[in-house]
Amino acid sequence: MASKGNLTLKSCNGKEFIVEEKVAVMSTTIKNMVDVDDSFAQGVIPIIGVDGKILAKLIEYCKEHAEADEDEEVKSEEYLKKFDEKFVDELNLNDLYDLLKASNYLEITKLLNLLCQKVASMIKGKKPEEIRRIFNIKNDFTPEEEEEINRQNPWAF
Amino acid sequence: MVKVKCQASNILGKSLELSSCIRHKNCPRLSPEDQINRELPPEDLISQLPEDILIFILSFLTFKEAVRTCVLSSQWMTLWTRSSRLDFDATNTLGKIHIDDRKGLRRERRKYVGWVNRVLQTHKCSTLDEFRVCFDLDKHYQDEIDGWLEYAFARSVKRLEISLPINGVLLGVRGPSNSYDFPHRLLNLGYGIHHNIPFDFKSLKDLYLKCVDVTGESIEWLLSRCPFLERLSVHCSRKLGKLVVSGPHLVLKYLEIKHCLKVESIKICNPNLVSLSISYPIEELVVTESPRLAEVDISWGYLNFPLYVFSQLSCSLSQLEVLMLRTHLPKNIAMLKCCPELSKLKELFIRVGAPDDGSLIELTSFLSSCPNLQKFALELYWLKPLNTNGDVEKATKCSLKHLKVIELSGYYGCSSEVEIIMFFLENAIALEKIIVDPLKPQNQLNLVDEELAARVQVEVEQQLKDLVPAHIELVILQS
Repeated sequence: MASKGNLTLKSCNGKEFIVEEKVAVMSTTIKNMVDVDDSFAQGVIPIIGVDGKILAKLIEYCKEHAEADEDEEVKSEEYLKKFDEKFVDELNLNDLYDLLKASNYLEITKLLNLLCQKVASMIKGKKPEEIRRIFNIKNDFTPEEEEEINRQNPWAF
Repeated sequence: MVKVKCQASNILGKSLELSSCIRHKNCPRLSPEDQINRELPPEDLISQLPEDILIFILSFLTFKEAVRTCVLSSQWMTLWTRSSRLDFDATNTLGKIHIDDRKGLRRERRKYVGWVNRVLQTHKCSTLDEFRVCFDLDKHYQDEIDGWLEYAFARSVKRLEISLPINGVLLGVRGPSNSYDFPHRLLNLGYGIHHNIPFDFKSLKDLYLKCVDVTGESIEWLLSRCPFLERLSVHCSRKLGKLVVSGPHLVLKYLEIKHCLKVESIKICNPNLVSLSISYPIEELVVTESPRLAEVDISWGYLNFPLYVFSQLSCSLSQLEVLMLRTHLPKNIAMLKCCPELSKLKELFIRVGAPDDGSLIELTSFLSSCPNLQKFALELYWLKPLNTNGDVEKATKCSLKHLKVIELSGYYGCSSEVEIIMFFLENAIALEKIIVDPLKPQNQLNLVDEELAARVQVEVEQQLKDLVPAHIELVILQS
């Protein structure tokens, strides 16, 4: 059991993480759970649908940001910006998707923003076929359908 | 930047509730089979993300880029239609039309209007966080724009921008009776009490109107019906004469009334107002009972500095923390030395047309009224930068004990600018940082002369390194 001020988070594949409460409540979902039901604060909080690897990543992110919120001197805005950049740059696509879903479910707003921005930056300025290649999106239009969309051309005037 | 973040979290609030429900019910994936599947040929996992996340991703793209994703696959085809931001900013296209090409402009206007109408027919989101129209449109399109406004208000728009300046003209103000009129009809003004309006305006937080003829009466009506309106900007309205912004219920924090040529009087009595931005001439400006007003932005173009501004703002001067002054003529600034003490002023920003010969040192005469200044920023814009090497004049002494940062943009390294730097080095004993953004020399077509810019950069760097002592951090921004 976690000591006072700490919470135990359990991933869907059974990995347990003891984290400081201020780190865990970066997630609004966890914050609401702890606020509503005191037993969560004492026992183990199951994080449904998030495996150990992704949970560790989430905790890594929340730890940096919680510490920065507490003490701006130690972790400046500039430091955080660099941390965020490195954090998203090191992710492969699968982890990126899993983190997107997890940060959405756990309501970690800052991280969800960061990840969505990352995906958007991968789309920005690219041609449709490049975007499809990057994300393995299968083009299921018939050539006629595609031509029709291009003819309607709703993005341009 | 901040604004984008703020909007993002609004969208998020909605999508999160939805998606977390979805997530609880069928928290799939990450099963061992899934892990194995990943070794197989790459799968289209992005399209399997909850739609709310995909729509949120699209919100980080420009509207055009977001719409373009409709060609990716059938699943993506209609995603953009659920976007809560409709941004019809086509000012880039305007830049490509020559100012004298009337025929070309007419053609582009028709295309623009067709584009907006087509998108609105396809769009499906029932609420709008943002709706922007930015193009050179005049009174001919009154009915179309009226329709767009109705569309936006009917979808409880939060941020609305209608910006219709003339292409390629400073300020872009149209001739009389040629501008789009903000429709009285929408506001039920002059239609009697029984005329029903289909929307309530209650979601509106931010309204920006440029080159839209809106009357003081309409604005006052909106202020009384929009309980959450925090930001209001009116630029270049020819019909704005008198305006009263008053009432204890107002949550308005930011008010901008600029370049409204017919403005006679503005009366403000607003407990929540933080920031006021105005341009002169204004015959009558009365600011009372606005205890939070801390930021004022004043511009007066080619006019003489309106000295009466100090008596007009007398109630608020002692509480000002940020002051921005914009003028084309630096000699005007010298008149500021008659200003009463601004004891709380922390930041002063001056944007001024640089003289082709004279000195800028008179700018500093104003600083003795700001004893607690922490940051000073000066932005120079040149009509014709000259490499003058006249004598460096010395300004009168003035104590700036708290000044830590100065920022100079449009810096060209000529003697009038060196004077300014020398002044701060001598008088600001606590100075920690000097940020310089060197001028990028442009030709008449606004094209940057890259070679010359690189040379200016090197020269400015050399000059300042010799001038600024080592204990002060010198930041020279790269062009």
